[in-house]
Amino acid sequence: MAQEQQTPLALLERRAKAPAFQRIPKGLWTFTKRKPVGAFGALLMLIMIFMAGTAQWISPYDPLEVHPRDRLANVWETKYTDNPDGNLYILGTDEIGRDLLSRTIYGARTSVTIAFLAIILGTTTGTVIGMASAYFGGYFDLLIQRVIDAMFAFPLLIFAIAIVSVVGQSMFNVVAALAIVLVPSVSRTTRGASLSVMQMPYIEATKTIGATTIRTLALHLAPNIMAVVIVLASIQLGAAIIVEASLSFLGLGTPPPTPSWGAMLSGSSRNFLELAPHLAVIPGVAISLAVLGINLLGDAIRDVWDPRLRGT
Amino acid sequence: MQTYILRRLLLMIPTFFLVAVGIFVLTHLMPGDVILIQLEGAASFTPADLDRLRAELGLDKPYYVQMFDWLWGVVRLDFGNSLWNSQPVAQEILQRLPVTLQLAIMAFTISSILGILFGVLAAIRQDTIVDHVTRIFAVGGLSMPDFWVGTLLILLPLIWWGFAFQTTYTAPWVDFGNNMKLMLPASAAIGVRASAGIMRLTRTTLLEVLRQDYVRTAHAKGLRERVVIYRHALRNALIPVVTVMGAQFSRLLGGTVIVELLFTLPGVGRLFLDSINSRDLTQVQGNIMVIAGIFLLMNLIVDVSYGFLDPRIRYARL
Repeated sequence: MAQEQQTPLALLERRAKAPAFQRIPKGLWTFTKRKPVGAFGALLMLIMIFMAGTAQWISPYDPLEVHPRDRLANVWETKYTDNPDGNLYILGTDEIGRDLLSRTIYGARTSVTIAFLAIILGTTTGTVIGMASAYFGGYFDLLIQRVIDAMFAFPLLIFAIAIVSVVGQSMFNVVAALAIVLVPSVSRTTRGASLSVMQMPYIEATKTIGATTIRTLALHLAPNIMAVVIVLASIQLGAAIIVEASLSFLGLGTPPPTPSWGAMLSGSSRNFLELAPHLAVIPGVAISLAVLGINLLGDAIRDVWDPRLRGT
Repeated sequence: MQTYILRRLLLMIPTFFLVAVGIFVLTHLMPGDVILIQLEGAASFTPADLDRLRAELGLDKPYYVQMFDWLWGVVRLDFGNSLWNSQPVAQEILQRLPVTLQLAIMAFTISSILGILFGVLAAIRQDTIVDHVTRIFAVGGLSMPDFWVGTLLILLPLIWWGFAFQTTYTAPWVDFGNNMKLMLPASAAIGVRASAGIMRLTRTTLLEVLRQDYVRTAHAKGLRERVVIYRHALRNALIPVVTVMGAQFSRLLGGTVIVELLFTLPGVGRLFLDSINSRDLTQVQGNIMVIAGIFLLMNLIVDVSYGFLDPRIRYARL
């Protein structure tokens, strides 16, 4: 047996085959060193996902529980009116005495669930439409592109408002509305990316050996535009959270009493803002930090994977 | 150039048609019946009353007839009459359009001036304190929702200095000063935030352009810094920025809905929300059509200005 050659290629292969428990932490560490700001964004996002996932264990109170005598408690205030041992409200209470910290934590759950589902649904649909449009071309492409143009004519928020008022308010409907609103930009970008991949010789080769349309699209086209799709999804996630919050703010999001960051800033609480400014500050900070984290991480992912998308 | 503009105009016709059809379908899928909402306060009514009202409003015709009426109306810029007060929808919108347009244009101006100015500053003073501060502002600004910025803009002066903004709207031609007292903070609420995106893009593209050979040549032949940047670099860097500014205008139009609500401005956005709540279908249709129309027009302007900014497009896309 010939002695194993220590060629650079062999070294690379061996490195690539390192077990996942070594490769992934190492990759993450490299990412953190290269993009510390992006890693900070990832941390913010992890905190939000953690809050969303463990809301029922980490929140100090039930988000819907009303403490009528502890209304409008200030930040870090202990009230003894409701409970002789004292109730500590870390972020204060709202105008009917619901704990703001618990509502913020549960609000993360609403935001994360809606935004992620909408992104998954919208990006998948948009990608399929974009790929099909590029693959089939001709009149099909022309027609689809005109429909996409027409969809682009509606501002994001107005489109979302119109859809929600048609299908009615529920968590799933908000997800669907956000997903539909995301489709035009996703499908336009993926169409562009698909068109350039379609020029590659390997797509021609695939067709030559008689692969079916589905096979070509799913196994040869899709993996090669994945980088673009993931970068796009990470950028759109922030927009999805903002539109969801705006819908809730207008009273068109998930119906009450589900805690939602946007709704916490609207409704009757607006009458108490002067008296208790923390009611306005805390949900806003929560939304902004969440979107900030997503944007920072998205920027870093884009720089690493696909610098061409800069500026989209 | 003329062929280019003509081509753009022709491409808009199918888009306009699809938008109009889309709006009709969307509004007619809306649940809830305007007749029932209108009769809510009535002491008593019979099914015959319902039919009579429906016939009066033209809601008894088959859908395809209603759709054709609507499309033909859009061509003539006649969006029908409101189902509530029988006033022409177009008239109501026309009355409120100046408010929304003023808001959007002021916000657009604020965001463009701030965005380009600070974008350029950040690029020519790369990696200095100016650059870092602008970047933090841009990333932070992009993360804050309009309605929160608006709320803080109203709330903070109130808490710190006991200063409250005006709450009644006056038309600019009646009292310009009073109008500005309300419109300036309102447009700043969306404009300052929207400038963040333009700022970032201006910085990135200008930095790329500044590394080009012809910029070095311009420096080498002894041109002043200002001339090199404004005459040579910025003009080329602005092309992608203009595209994004066009898309930005649509974001601003969406933002006006929320700001009109926050600052109690009688604009098209408020009208849109109110008519959705009262299920006034024709009013909703007209409103979305006008907003979409403004946006399509804006896109056309952006495309054409593209041709002016970049001679290559004029010839390449004929």
